[in-house]
Order: sequence, then C-alpha cells, then structure tokens
Amino acid sequence: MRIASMNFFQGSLSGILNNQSSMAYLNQQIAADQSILQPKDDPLATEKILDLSTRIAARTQYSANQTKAQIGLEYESTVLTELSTTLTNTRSALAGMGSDFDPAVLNAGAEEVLSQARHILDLINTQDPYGNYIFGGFDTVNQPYANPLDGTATATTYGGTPNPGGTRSIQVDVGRSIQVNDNLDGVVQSGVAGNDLLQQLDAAVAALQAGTVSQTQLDGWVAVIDTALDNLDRISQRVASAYSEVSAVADTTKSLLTQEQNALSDILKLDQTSAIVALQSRQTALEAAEQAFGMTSGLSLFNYLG
Amino acid sequence: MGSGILGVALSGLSAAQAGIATAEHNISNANTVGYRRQEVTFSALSPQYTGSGYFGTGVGVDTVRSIYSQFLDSEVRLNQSQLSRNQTYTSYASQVDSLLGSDSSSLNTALDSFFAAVNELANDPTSNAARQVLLSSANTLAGQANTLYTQLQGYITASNAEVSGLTSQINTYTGQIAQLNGDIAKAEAGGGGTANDLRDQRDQLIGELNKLVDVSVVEQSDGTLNLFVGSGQSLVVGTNAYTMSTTTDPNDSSLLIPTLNVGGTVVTLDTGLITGGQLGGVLAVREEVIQPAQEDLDRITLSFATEFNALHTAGLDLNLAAGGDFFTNPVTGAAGNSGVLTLSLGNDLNLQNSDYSLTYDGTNYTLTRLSDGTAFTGGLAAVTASEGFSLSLGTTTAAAGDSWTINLKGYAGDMAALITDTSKIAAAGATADGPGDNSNALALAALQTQSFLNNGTVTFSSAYAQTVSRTASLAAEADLNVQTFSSLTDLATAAQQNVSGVNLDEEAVNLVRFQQAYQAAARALQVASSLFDDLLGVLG
Repeated sequence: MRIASMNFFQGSLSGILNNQSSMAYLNQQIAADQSILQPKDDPLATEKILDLSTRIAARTQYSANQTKAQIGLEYESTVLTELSTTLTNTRSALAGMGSDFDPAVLNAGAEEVLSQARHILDLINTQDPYGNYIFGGFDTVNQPYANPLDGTATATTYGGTPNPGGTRSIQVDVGRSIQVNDNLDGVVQSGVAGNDLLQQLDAAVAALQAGTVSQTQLDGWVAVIDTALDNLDRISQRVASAYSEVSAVADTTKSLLTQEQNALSDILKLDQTSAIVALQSRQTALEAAEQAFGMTSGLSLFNYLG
Repeated sequence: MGSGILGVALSGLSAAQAGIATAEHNISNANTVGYRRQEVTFSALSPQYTGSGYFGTGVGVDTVRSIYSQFLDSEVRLNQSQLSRNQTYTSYASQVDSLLGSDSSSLNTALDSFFAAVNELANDPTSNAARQVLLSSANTLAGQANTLYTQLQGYITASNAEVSGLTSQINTYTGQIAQLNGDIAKAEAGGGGTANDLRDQRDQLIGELNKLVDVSVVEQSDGTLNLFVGSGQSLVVGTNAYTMSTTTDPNDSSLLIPTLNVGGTVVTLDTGLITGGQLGGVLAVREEVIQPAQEDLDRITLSFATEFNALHTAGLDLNLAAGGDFFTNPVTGAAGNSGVLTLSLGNDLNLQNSDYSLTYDGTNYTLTRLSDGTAFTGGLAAVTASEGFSLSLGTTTAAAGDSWTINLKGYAGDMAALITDTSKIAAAGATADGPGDNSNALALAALQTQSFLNNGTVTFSSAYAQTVSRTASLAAEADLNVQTFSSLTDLATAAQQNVSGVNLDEEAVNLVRFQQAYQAAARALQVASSLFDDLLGVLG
C-alpha cells in the first residue's frame, strides 16, 4: 500500500501525544488520590457523589446536634438528681420532727430545712455554662423562680414561659426533634394555692424557728414534698428516655454516616495500584512509540542515492 | 528520416525533463498543507506511415494532474468540521463542569455550611456566636451563588467575542475563496488543463473554513465552487462572497448571534442552521450548557431565598420583633407605594428567564415581561398566570400609581444576605415570649431536607446536583465526540494523504527513472548525431 511520507511520521506522533495525555491524566489522579477529577469524568456518579456529600454534611450536623442534646439532657439530669436528693433530705428532716420536740431541736431543724430550701431555690434556677436558665422555658434570660425565703410566706412566682409552650427541641434527624429542657412547675407547684413548695418550706422554717409546730403541719409539709418528688420523678424519667432516644438515634446516625462515607470513598477513591500499573504500561507504550519514530525517521531512499 | 531520429530523441528529453520537474515540485511540496501530489501523463505521438509500416515519432506530455479522491477529501472535511465543533463545545463545557462541580465553588458546599449554621442557631438561639456564624455563612452562600453566576456570565461574554471573531475570520476565508474561484475560472478558461495548485489552495481554504463553520460545496462547470451554510444560505457564489456579521439575540439581549447578508437580505443563523465547526460548537454549548446552568442557578436561589424569607419574616428576632427579609427580595416596590407585594414561585418553577415591571392604575395591573416586551393587563392573579410565579398583597392594599420591579433573571448573580445585625435573626416563633424560643430556627433548618423544586420533588441540594450532573453528561459526551471525530479525522486524513500525499521514496524512484530516461534520450541524440557525422565523413 502506498503511504504518504507525512503519515509515516504522523503515525508515531499521534501515538506519542495520546500516551503523553493519558500519562498526564493518570498523574493528576494519583496526585489527587481521586479517581474522579471533575464531574464529567463520571457523569453517572456525579449526582450520587453530590447527594452523598450533602447527606454526609447534614448527618454530621445531626450528629453535632445529638451531642448538644445529650450534653443538655445530661446536665439537666444531674441537676434533677441533685434536686431529688435535696428534696429527699428535706423530707427526712421534716419527717424526723415531732410536735413534742424541744424548741432547741426544732430550731436546729429549721436551720437544716432553710439550708435545703435555699439549695432547692438554687437548683430550680440553675444556669448552664452560657448563663441560660435551663428551667426557664423560652425565657432563658430572667430567673424563672423567685421566692425570697424570708419567712413572709410569699408564693413562688414563675417568670418563665408557661408549660407546655416553653420547651425547646433540637433536631436530631430528618423530621425528628427531641425535647431538651423542662420547666419545674409541677415540682415547685407554683400557683397551686397552699401547695407551693417553697412557700410551704418558708412557712416550715418560720414555725420551726418559733419552736411551735403541730403534727398536722409537719404531715402537710411532707405531703407537699412527696408531690414534688412524684412530679420530679416523672420529669427525670422523661429526661432519661429522651437521653436514650438520642443515644439510639446517634448510634444509627453514626453507622449511616460511616456507610455513606464508605460509599463516597468507594466512588472517589483511586485504586492506586491499578493506576500505577496503568501509568507503567502507558510509559512502555510511549517509549515504544518514541523508539519507532527514531527507527523510521532515518529511513529514506535518498540516503542510498550516490 | 534523419530529422525524425533527432525529433524522437528530443521528445524523450522533454518528457524526461517534465517528469523530473514534476518530481521536484512534489518533493518541494512534500510538507505543504493541502498540496496534492502531481503526476505527468505521457502518450506516444502519432506514428509516421511508411511502406514498411508505422514508425513511432516519440513521446508527448499530455497533462499534469493532481491525484486525489473526492470522497476522501469530503470525508476529511466532514469529520474535521465535527471535530472542531466538539473541541469548542468541550472547551466551554469542561470549564462549566469544573466550575459547578469543584468543592470550593460548588453551591452545595455553601448550602451545607449554611444549614449547619441554621442548626447551630436552633441548638443555641441566644448564642451570639451561633448567630454570627449564620450571618457569615449566609454571606458565603450568597457570594458563592454570585460567583457562579458571574463566572457563567463571563463564559457568555467570551462566547460572544468568539462568535464575532469567527464571523470575521469566515469573511476572510470566503473572500479568498471567491478570489480563487475567479483565478481558477480564468486559468482554465482556454481548456488547457486544470489549475492544480490553485485548486489545492482553494480546497485547503475550504477545509479551514469548515473548521469554523460547516459548509456544503457545489462545483460549477466553469471550475468555480459555490458554498452554502445552514439550510442552503449562500456564502460564496462564483466570485461573490457574502458577508457574515453578528446581531443581538432578539430573545436575549446578552447574546450575540451570527447573521449572513445575502445580497441585502439579512438572515439570522441560529443553532438550528449552524451545526458544525467552531461556530456551531459555541452556539450549541451556550444553548445547551451555559444558559441552562444560569437558569437553574436562578431557579434554585430564587426558590431558596423566597422560602427562607417567607419563614424568616414570620418569626421573631432576639428582641421579639418581627423578622425582615433575610435575602434580597426579588420584588422591589417604588418609593411611596401603598401595596407591598410578596412573590411566590409556582410549583413547576417554569420561569421565563426575564425581569418584569408591574404597575397598578387603580383598576388593573399591567405586567411587562422585559425580555421581549410582552404585556399582560388585568387582575393580579391573571397577569402572572402564564409566568411561573404569583404575587400577593398580604394585608396591604395597592393604590393607583403603585409600581414594582421583579428581578428574576440573574437573581443568582444579585442575591445578597440583607441582615447584618445578629439580633435581627428571627429564631423565635411568631408567638414566642422569650429569646430562648428556637421554633422558627428549627423550621428554617428543616428547609434543608424539604423538596421545593421540580414540582416539589427535589431539595435545593439535589436540584443543584442534577444541574452538575446534566452539565457533566454533556461535557463527557463532547469529550467522547472529540475522541471519536479525532480518530475519524485522523483516519480520513491518513487515507486521503495516502492517495494525495507525497512519498519521498517514490519521488526518488521517479527522479532516478526520469534521469535514466533523460540519459538514454541524450544517448539516442548522440547516436543520431554520430550517424550524421558518419554520413558526412563518407561524403567528405
């Protein structure tokens, strides 16, 4: 077959150029450690990659939200346990009193109850590390429960948002939120006439200090604390179940996150070994093409014409 | 008889000379692009009759002809035209692909960070740090959308420059081709053979022209070629070349499209007519890749901003005041308006890629689509019915003389985050009684996974992913076409060159062959000459 002299050279040239561009691309892949350098390298995988990336980003955020919720619930749980202990101690102090006790003993009891009551007041007005009142509902700025504990039998006033509108939630998954705070209206029994926890404790302290107390009074105060403990128990249980729900969701999130990250990595990750092998074989082909050019370029009949 | 001997030898000398000259011409042009090797054809001269029969009178040179195959020549042209188209297409598509898809410029990266910040706000509605992060990620998101849009607009500008550059290059080629048509017709007029080298030049120019725009070629009896583009619009007829120019697209003032002036009648050449060459590539990639990407960006950002604004204005900020627009409102009322309009996008987001103006005369509204000036008059619902969006007055009332502008086209380029004061972020619900309320922030965060686009089937991120994916498919297809047409062009060129190209070894053989023929003819001349000498010696 007749061959044009230009083709004779061109054949090696296109071989050299093709191998060089393949090698450049493989080099880029290896340097970036990615099989897909830009979407057009694999259009079918593009949408999957972007959707996975978005899902991973959202799930990472949900994971952060879950941690935030867990920390909040743990914090609340600690405070509630402490509150329960304090209420129980107060209850024991009052239950251990009798109307026939010596006034000096009753006075000592008054000190005990007052110090517990002050602790209760501190606990129901707990602030988180950022200064937010955790039992204040949406009003995180103002102290939710006020009672001077000055023996004047003032009712406890609640400054927060009324239940149930004032509970905050955190989104822990798509369309799934967890309540992360509570108010202690049920415990404090604020607004419940004659049953207001701190008002009763205030009255108890006043009576014990005066040294005169009836058994009926003592029984009444213990009953108010029992109601408070019952209600507190319900809140503690809600917090505990919310915490375990978040933990369960967090486990699912973590395993899905791992799956999605693996899936993304499977698509994007470059198989280094095969890339190196491909590079090697391209290099061999390039060298062959170059050698072929070297061998053919010198061939000319004119060399033999004297 | 004696002069006969000399004449025969002489004809041999001339023929050998013609052969040598042609071989030398071929050797000289071995690397001339578009050159076709030439060949001398010889034939025996008319014999002389004598009583003993016919005696030959030597050799004559018939003609010098180019060796070519019309089929292979047109194969090269067709493939080359498609190769150029796809090379141009992929040069743009590849840039758009990498712009939309790279992590650093992707809208999804910014959307993800933005919604992460909204979540943090919901986690901690009173935290100033969380609010600050939200504002800065809102700025990043708007900035990202602006950058993407501006960059795409830059490709449109580049495509306009290319269209206009290509048309003037085309005019240069068609002018030269028309000129050569005249030269060839003149040279061949006497019937003295074909003007091989001029024809080679003309074919070479047509090849170059085909890289710019696909033309069809029709040969005329006088040796001239007529060239046509599109569905038969004349580009070159005989010695006349018709001028191409550009005009602004009547449907989109940001685009330049090519025109052809055929004897005073200006024809607009759109993508339906120009399908090949670089010009075809620019027009196609603009229509299939760049503009749709811009329109998608507009749709996604408009949908996102209107949904986000709608929720944000319904919530309360840190001071329990009503929230304002978080992102640029596409509707702007004139100063002194009584009516305040809120934009809602239709489910199918079938927007017309245009801005609008709206006026109210006390009875009727008049909505004008600015891209083409179409006006609708009637009630508020009626005027927007066909445009893919609706407007509502809410609790306000419009007064005669109120007017608005609605900027939908290029919204992605104009979008900005309007809130600068962290306390103005409305994290609290409409009925909140304290700054710790995060219900609106939760609602805003939930927008991330809600489907608003494509008739409510895809989220903002997925819509963007679809845009990237579509661009990637088109870019990959163009890449594949480049590979295909590149090898087809190589094959066709090789085949064409194997017919028409010069082979130096072959020419070396020709040189030796004609040199020996020349030497033999010279020897014959010497023999004839010595015959005369012998004869003269006898006589002397």
